[in-house]
Amino acid sequence: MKTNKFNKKPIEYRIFLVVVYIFIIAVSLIGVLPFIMMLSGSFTSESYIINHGYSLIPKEFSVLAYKTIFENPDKIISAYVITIGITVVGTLLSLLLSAMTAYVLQRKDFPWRNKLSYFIYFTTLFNGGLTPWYMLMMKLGMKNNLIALIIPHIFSVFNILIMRNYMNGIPHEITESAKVDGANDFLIFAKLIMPLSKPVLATIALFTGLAVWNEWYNCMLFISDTKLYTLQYYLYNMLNNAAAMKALVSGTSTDLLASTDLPSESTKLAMAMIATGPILLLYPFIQKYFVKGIVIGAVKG
Amino acid sequence: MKLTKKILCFILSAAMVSVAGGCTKNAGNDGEKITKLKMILTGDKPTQYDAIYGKLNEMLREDIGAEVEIEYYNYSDLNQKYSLLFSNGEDFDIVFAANWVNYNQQAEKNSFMEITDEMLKKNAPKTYETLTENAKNEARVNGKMYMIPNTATEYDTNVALIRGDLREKYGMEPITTLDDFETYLENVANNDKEIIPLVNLVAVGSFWGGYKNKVGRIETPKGTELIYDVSEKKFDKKDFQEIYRDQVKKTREFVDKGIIPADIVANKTIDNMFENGKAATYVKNLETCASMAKKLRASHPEWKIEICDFSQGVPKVKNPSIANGLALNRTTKNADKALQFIELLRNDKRYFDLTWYGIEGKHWEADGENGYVSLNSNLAKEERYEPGCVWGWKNQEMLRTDKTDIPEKQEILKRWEQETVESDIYGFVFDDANVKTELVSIASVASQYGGPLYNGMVEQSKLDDAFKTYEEKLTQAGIDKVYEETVKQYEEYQKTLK
Repeated sequence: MKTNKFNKKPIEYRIFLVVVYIFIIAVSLIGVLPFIMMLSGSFTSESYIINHGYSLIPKEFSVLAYKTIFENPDKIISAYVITIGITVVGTLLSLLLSAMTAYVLQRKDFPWRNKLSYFIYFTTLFNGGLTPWYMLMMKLGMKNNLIALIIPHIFSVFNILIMRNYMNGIPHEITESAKVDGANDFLIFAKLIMPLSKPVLATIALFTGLAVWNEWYNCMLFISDTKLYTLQYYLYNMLNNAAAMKALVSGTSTDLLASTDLPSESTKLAMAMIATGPILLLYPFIQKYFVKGIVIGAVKG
Repeated sequence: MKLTKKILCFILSAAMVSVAGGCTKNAGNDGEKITKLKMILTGDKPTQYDAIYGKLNEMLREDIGAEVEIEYYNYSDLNQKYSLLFSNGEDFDIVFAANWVNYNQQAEKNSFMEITDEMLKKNAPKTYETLTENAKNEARVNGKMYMIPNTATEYDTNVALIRGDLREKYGMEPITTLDDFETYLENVANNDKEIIPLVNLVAVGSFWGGYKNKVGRIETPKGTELIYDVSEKKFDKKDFQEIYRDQVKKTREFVDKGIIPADIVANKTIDNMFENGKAATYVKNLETCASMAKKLRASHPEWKIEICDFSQGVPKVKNPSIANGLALNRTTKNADKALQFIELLRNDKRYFDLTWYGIEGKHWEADGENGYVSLNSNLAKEERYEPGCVWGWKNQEMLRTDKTDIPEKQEILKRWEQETVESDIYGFVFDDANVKTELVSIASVASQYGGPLYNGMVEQSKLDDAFKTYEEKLTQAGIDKVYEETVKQYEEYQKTLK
């Protein structure tokens, strides 16, 4: 059936399709190959990697890297719990706050909406720098506080602007007719606007979710309790700690082997696999909203 | 009945508190207020932290009525977090300090509390006695001492590990000289194509650039391309010297002979190669080599690992005492207690053994007066004690030697101690204020023109031209001015010593 349909199309179109498909396949290969390399490397024995380098298919199969990691899984599990926790809470809070802000900003009967929009936008132009920000957060008691990992992500101006543009596209008449029927603003927002904004909500959820999932910088600054480390920071540390220490103390007489375990190449790759896995599975579920949300949010400027 | 007893108990203890209140030395009393100290160290929190430092706190409450809590700063972002620590006026008492975490710069910024002789005499008399004038000099910034430096005899001299099985295969006698070593490397290159003879470029610099000529040289000030000759007590410009040309020529020769792979600079796994059988040599400081040799003699006895020291007869300088130490936060309110605590850590065997080696009987066993045997290898991974950053209170008199170490280590150390010369160079802190621009230019010239030379990337026939260009560029960058400034400052520094 499909072949017939394809054959009926004009020749130019068929050539176009072939070229496009080849191009897309090439581009996705560029993206996928390193990932496969990573996967295969994590299952290769360490001595093979050192002696022969990486390969696309594990030549000397070994699960030692995963064994080493899961031998002592407490830290990874706790990092996972923390990361999933802040991702869920952060994303939900961010959606709620951004949607409410965006809704208010696009209501035609809100007199200062442009001034307020500008005020919000204005804050993106500059910032106070690292030290004042750090001091402020510390004064607010953010040291070893998981809130420090969520707050910086929940109110993104960029997301609010996308959302406001999307909501602009929802006919104003819907709000008005609901009002005539006696609905108050909260009811309109919750029962009408939110369901109608699903595509953009999914998009923003993905943006925020990804940002919080990849959170390590704030964790580096504010979290010193290893039990509260996020997955990414745990990974970052595992990969960099030994190397950074080596660089720092290289001129001294410190025993470089005793103080920190230098992770093997395959362990590094296995760690990276463990950290990227879950978020990778999330994409297919959100994808159908994803493109729609971005396009609509962008075009109706 | 019970209630009356409780009330009575309460009244009695309350009375005791009021009596003990006036007397600070009556430590260990439940009623006395416990001072909470906070200390910041580097690296990972030890897995056995709770067990070790829980026990330490028990002793500490008893001895000086204090408790300590340690926060660990990871190496991966140490510099950034370290400077934020002081800019924020955070609440802590003691902090790890060392020249490799910018001790001098932080001290200039007034981050630490000055530690005076009076403070030491009052709270840490033993520490005061063990600090030599030289150590104190090294710790002084603008005439004031801001850290308690460690007192250990350490060297950064490099040694080499080789594979005894390969050496025997080539029919060679044990390697004692650099010429033997070179023959060994050539043999590997010619006979074992899948093994890389030498992966550490630093080996050429240390062995052929320094030890072969029996001179002890330290690049100082760092990043200036100037060197200080330990025995002659003089500075010189590095790249105008025959000795460094020899080193560069040697490096290139090795690349040509296939002893050093040409792309080694880009290789990130060189440190793992020896233990995986990919490299034939391992060049690091003595501590690291000894511990690698110990590990491999257990896991690969057939390799017959041998340790070679090519630095015999080279005058050596002990590592600066400020390579590790402890400092006080400028705003600490518990300076006295903190110093008393440091005194215990450094000079009380119970504290030192506990923090350095773990719980006696579980993690280690005493072997003789100053020896020990580590029991870590018998324990599950999470039960082992890796002390981490305890170097701040390193004290030669307290250190135990590990009886499971390779025997060569102590032999080499003994020899080095005999070859040690006194030097004041590490107390000299270069003030770069007048030559900042020159230093930036020198650094960029060094990486652009010096890097290829030292990494053996310039062909043998073009070497002379490359040397010439490098010299010219360094002169243009202002190395003469830096040199004069260094010599001037060093002379001034020496005047302050007497």
